[in-house]
Amino acid sequence: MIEFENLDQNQENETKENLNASNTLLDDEEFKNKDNIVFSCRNVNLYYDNGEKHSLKDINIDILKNKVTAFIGPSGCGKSTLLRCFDRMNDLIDGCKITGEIKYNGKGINDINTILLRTKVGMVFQQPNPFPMSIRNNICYGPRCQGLKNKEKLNEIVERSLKDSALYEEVSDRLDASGLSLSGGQQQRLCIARAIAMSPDVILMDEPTSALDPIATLKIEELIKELKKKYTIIIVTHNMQQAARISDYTAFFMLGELVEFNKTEEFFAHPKDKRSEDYITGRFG
Amino acid sequence: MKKLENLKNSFNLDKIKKLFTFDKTYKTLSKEEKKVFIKRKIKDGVTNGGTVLFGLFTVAILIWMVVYIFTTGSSTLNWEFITSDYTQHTAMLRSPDDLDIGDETFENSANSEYFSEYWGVGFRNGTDNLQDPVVYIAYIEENSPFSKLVNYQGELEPVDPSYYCSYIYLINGDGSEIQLNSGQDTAEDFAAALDKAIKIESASFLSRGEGIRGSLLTTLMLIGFSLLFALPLGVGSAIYLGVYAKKNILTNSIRTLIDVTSGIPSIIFGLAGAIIFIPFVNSMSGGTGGNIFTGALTMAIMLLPTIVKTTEEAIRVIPMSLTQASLALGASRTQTTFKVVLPNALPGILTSTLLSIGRIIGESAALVFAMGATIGDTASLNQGYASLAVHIYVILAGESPRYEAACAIAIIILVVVLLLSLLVKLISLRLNKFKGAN
Repeated sequence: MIEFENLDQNQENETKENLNASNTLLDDEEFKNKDNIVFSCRNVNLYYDNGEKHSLKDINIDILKNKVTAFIGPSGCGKSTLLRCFDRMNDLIDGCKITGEIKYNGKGINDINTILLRTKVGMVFQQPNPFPMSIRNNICYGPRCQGLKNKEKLNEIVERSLKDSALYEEVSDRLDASGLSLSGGQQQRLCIARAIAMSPDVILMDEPTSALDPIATLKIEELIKELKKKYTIIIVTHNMQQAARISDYTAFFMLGELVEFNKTEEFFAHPKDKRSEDYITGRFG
Repeated sequence: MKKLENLKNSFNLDKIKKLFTFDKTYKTLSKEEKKVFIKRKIKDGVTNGGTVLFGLFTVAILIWMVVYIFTTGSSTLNWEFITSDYTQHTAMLRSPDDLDIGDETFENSANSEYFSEYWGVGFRNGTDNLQDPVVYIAYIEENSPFSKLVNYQGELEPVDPSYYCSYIYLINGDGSEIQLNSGQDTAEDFAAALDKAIKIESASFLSRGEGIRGSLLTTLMLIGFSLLFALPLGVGSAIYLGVYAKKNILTNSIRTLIDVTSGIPSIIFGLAGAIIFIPFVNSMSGGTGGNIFTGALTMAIMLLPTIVKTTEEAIRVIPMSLTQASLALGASRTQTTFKVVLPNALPGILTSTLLSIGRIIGESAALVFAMGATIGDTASLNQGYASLAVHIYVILAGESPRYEAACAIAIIILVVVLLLSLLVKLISLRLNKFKGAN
């Protein structure tokens, strides 16, 4: 369903001009080293309902390795949609069409096998959604689907993922209990553990704390700070304070446009765009 | 508790009093208005009373039917009825020629009420499958003359104690002959007559017969084979429709077709089974007529719409978030279907299976044509015997309908169907709880 239009020479030149004009690509030292960039989007447009709804408009953005990048913006601005582009979850939606170029580690995202891509790019959803099976099986699910059967290795993975997701101490004595028996915050951490079990490069988080209470939220935020040492994290959030607390870079979306992308401190201290400023100061949204 | 309170409220005395008294405003009404008021009150009363009456009537008829079936059938329904053959087996026996009845008497060691001392045999009164009185052999003493009876080939044949004695033809010591018949003579007469006799010229023993073992086994076998054919097909197409199929004219028409098929009368399925499946199966097996496979295939086609619809429904209610979670973990579509979707749809599949079993047990019209209406003593793969429901049809269709036996089978069917529907309720209750936990 995704139709990519390979850019020919002319378009590439145009793109370069666009890049210079765009204020959403940063010139910092870190962005110049190609190895540091996990995802890069160039002129990404996305249409729902067979082109009737234009949901993403000319998105240009680079995502840095081992950093937390936050996507913020009012509801329906396309931040979740862009996030879902990174592991091609939009494939599941009928009548969704994407143009432009998304590269993962320098490779066109459409040239990579969907399943391989999704093993490298994990995702955590808004609602905690553990499978109705035991905690252990929840975590083993991904590796098992890739054909891993060795019990010792699976146990190792369970222990490592639970420890990495700061859940081990709470559930180590009841790994065979149902995943649904955990509290909401624990369930969400189980979902993170499930994603970590695949040893991904990137973890995409789609408003992971919006269904949780403040204490569970705090735990997840601390977890994210730990996780960024090993993984690249892209997080969509409604909560500006959360973005300010945990992210290194912040992207602000509005009506399908990427309005501003900058280092988080810079973004919140000196927003360049009027709309960003209005949003941060709470004039709307 | 809430229900109890509601019940209490509905039986509130004040409310009932209000029905029969007019409120205070009634007195302030004019004559004309009073007339209208009373008229409306009567009209309302009649209408409401009518609905209540109809409701009670319906319930009463249903209860009466079930009670009638239970009281009529319960006397026939016993373990022997369930486990015995339908065919009545006969054994014609006589005493061997060299038998000499002397003065030797045998002890009544089993304490039979009616005992022949010289022949060493006890009798008891009982009934046959039609509830007519007959005489059973209660007990045979070891080494007694009665234990040495032979058949007409001269071979020793012990009397089966579950058989009853339909008649016995005796020769007495003085040369006179006497015949005793079950129904006319009692066990007491049998014992007394036998004590005078020196020879049993012929004795006819009959098995009870009319049992439903064959039909019961056939029904179980039919359930097994029907589900074997219907479940993979039905669940498979439900997965296709629920998971893979895109919405277009083709899949929509498939769904409509399935809906329409579920309304087709079963006799038409029987017809289709008779003209399609019987020749088809026979061309492969070389047999003739219907057999368990033709019946099972016909039932499978009949069950498919229910199974497909119930399973598809169960697949549809599985939260999208679960399938998305699975796909996001790098599972393929097939892995997601078989590891996440199917296990969660299991209660739905189970429900459709139970409903199917109920339908197979109750189906008669289609099976008369597609499988067979011969009552068997056992289940057979290459012979189309009657299932329980067809058994009822057969024993009622004859010249002397046997209502007691039919009611006894009806009890079995009713109880099984009742248990199945209770189980379905339980499963759906648990399913709802699971959904709540989500």
